[in-house]
Amino acid sequence: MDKLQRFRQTRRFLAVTILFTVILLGIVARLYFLQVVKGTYYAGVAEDNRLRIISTDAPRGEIRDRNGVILATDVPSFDIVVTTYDLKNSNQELGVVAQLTGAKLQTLKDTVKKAGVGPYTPITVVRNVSKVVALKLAEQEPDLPGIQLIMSTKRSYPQGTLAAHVLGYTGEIGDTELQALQTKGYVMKDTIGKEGVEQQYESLLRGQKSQKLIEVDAGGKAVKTLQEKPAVPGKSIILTIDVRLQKMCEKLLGNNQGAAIIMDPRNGELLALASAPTFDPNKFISGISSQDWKTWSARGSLFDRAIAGTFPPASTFKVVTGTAGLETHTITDRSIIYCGGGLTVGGRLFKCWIWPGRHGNEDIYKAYADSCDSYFYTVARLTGIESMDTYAHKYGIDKLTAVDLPGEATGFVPTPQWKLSKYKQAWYDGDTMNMGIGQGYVLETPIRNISIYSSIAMMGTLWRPHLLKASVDPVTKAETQTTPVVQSTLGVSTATLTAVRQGLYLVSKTGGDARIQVGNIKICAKTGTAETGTLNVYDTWMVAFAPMDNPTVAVLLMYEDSPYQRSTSMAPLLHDMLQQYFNLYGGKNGSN
Amino acid sequence: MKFHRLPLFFIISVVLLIGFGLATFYVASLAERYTLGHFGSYYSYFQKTLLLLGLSLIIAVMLQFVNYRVLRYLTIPAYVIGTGLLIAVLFFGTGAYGSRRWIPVAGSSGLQPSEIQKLVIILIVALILTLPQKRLTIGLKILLVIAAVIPSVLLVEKEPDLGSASLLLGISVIMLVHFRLTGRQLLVLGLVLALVGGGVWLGLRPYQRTRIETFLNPQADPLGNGYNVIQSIVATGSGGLWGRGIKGSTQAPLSFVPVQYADFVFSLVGELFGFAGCALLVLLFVMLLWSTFLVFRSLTDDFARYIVVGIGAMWFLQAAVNMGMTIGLSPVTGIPLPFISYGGSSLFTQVMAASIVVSVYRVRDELRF
Repeated sequence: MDKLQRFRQTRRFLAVTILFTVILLGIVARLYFLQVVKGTYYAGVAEDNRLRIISTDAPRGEIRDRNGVILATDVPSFDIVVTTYDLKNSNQELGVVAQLTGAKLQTLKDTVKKAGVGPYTPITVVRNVSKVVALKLAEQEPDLPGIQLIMSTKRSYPQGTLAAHVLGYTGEIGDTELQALQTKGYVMKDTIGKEGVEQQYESLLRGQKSQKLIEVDAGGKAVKTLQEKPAVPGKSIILTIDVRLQKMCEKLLGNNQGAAIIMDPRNGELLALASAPTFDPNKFISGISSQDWKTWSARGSLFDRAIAGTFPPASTFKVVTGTAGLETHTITDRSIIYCGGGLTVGGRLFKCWIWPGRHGNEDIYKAYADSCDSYFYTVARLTGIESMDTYAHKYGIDKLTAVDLPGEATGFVPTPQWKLSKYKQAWYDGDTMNMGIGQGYVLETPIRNISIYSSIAMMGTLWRPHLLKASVDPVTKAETQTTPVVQSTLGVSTATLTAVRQGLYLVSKTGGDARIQVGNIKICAKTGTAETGTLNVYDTWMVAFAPMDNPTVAVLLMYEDSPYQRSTSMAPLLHDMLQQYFNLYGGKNGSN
Repeated sequence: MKFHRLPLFFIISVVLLIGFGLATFYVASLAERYTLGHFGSYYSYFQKTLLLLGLSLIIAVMLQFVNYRVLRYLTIPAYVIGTGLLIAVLFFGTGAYGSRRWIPVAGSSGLQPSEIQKLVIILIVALILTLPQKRLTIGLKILLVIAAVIPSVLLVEKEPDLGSASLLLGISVIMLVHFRLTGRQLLVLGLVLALVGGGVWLGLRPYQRTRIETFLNPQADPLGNGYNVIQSIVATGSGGLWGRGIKGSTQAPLSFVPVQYADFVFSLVGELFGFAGCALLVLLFVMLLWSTFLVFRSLTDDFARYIVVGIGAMWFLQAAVNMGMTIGLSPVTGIPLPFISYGGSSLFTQVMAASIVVSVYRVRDELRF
């Protein structure tokens, strides 16, 4: 190669070297953009890369009865979680989970998809897997990247069906609930109280999840914990319920439909609140069989009759009629009304229950003792529908008692306007008379009915019926007691209430089959037998409070489609309830 | 051997680069210890690199006692052995994801024939281009070059290692550019190459196409093929101006960037030392290129000149493609960053290349006197 050639060659290499240099400087320019201009951004992305927040459920608060008997608690269980980042082949790994748990693959995928969290955040896809499934999964876990079995807890109701309607149950949060509660830190698959106290006191029972900020490597393996906020367990709840009384109530209801309530009229504490038929809340946790579901649906087992069932109050309503008559001075406690076994109004015979017998001359005291229909027909008719409605309102029949449970219903107080718009018919005297004995259109819930008698017991003061006695801080063990609240005052004169109470006392004293005697305690009681529209099928009531002069307890027993033809047959049952109460809580001054 | 006869500027460039690489691994190992609480893989990379470097340098120094012209006679045997190894790797090779790139060697991660073949190709092309004029025309020489290079390219592509195959091709092309071709001849050569390139594209394996498509838009598949690039950019970018240092670096110790010690070592530099460190490293490569050019300029032996062109082309192409892929400017390939990436075959090849450059410079000096 000659010199000129070499010179040319050198020139070419110089050109190439300059070109190379320019290209390398281009790389520097790009580096400047990435590192200096966008450096902060990428530093943030790098942080997100290595940091994961792991949160674990806090133990849910226990529910206990007033004497500390556990009604609901957490027991260990297993959950399956998925970390999407670690999944190698989601169809395969989730497929195994689906196969083992019996869940649908598509459902699992949807859950993962809808979780809306980063690829490193574990997502709970199946809760409360059985031990068998957990063991099988644990065996396969090493071959299932991204799938993890974690120790968790599930709700358990050790008393089984006892107080099921009071307790409610827990379940997976629903889509609509989630939307409403997202701001409160709920995420998909979270457990939330459904129905009963579990729902009512969700905010107390639910603790705060633990949060752990961890540093992970690219494989998702935790390298170290940077910050940790321990879980705060939920508060425990002490109910006003006394398991012993609750058991007795449920036993009395047996296999029937109905409700039984024991309440302390002095403060509204519900010592027993039973609805039948009942259900086992544990089945909601483990999964309900279709057989159970069919049975429950057919019998309305999930329906809480005590607070949401509305029934004709029948003769238990006569306290309202009596109050209305006395307060409007339509009658006095000395007014005498003759019962000839019934009376004819507007060409129609309104029978007294004793018909074809008769009660003869009745004053209000004897009328309560005999539960004389003729007497209360007459009082209602004379008082008039407007005043009757006024006092029905005063007793709160169409209002909520505000008992601390979800799903309470109100009763119903008919008015002429309502009848006109509903049936295009005028209101007749006969309608007023029917209402006077708690028949016709008027409806009450059992919780309202016992509240009415409680307010009579307390000379017009209704303490708000409630189940929450106290909540207990899990750490400090400090108890926050519920302060009883006056829900309403009747605004009815003492004289009137004294007269009504005297009448109710005579029911237990001289009321024939309705008589109840528990030691020498003065008991005020009232029965009620409501027609249901089906021949010889009745809804039967009996409600009482005692001791008359210093009431400590109100009890109510009610059967829908009763096994009894006459409510007076329930007197021995009510006797047992009162007897049991006074055995446990003592006589006059018996409190806790 | 006299001290002033050494290409000082060139040697300083190489030493600085090697030092930079060692420092990077050492600092990375400290960052790893800080995060994990104990020394991890970077410390072993550091130790192994030190060991391999020692061995390579001993060989490099020993080579200085041999006249480089011997290489003329060693070229053909080297070509035969190198090509033989490329064939062997297809049968006995190991590698990730179904590739066969390494020949297993006890006590190490293996020998990577495609690395050594780069030097072999440089030598054979230089040899062909400097064969005595009388026997061969220019056209024949070019055909010979093509005939010598293509088998290696195809064999490496077969591993498959498209990056290294393209690199062999690229080195050869740049060497041809320095052959006495007129502008027109160069144009024809360019057209032929374009046609070959088109043919290669059609023959690409699906994953190779995906890689190139990923290069064009890494965000399209963030957890799949784009993952490497995104993580690499994140790590590089997170370094900022001055780097995150030992206590602040997280992506390297937590191994968020795949093969960050080798193919993506530049992102390690980026995270640890930031823009300042990256720019310094680029500057060192610019220094290497210019010092190589200065060596080239002083050479009179054509064989030596072509060798130096080839070596310079190799360094530039590897540096540009490797750094480019780290920051999303070029497709992901398995091409290491010369003198920096962890890997025995690569380090050995680069030190040998540097040793040859020193050797041709010194021998030129001796000839003159």
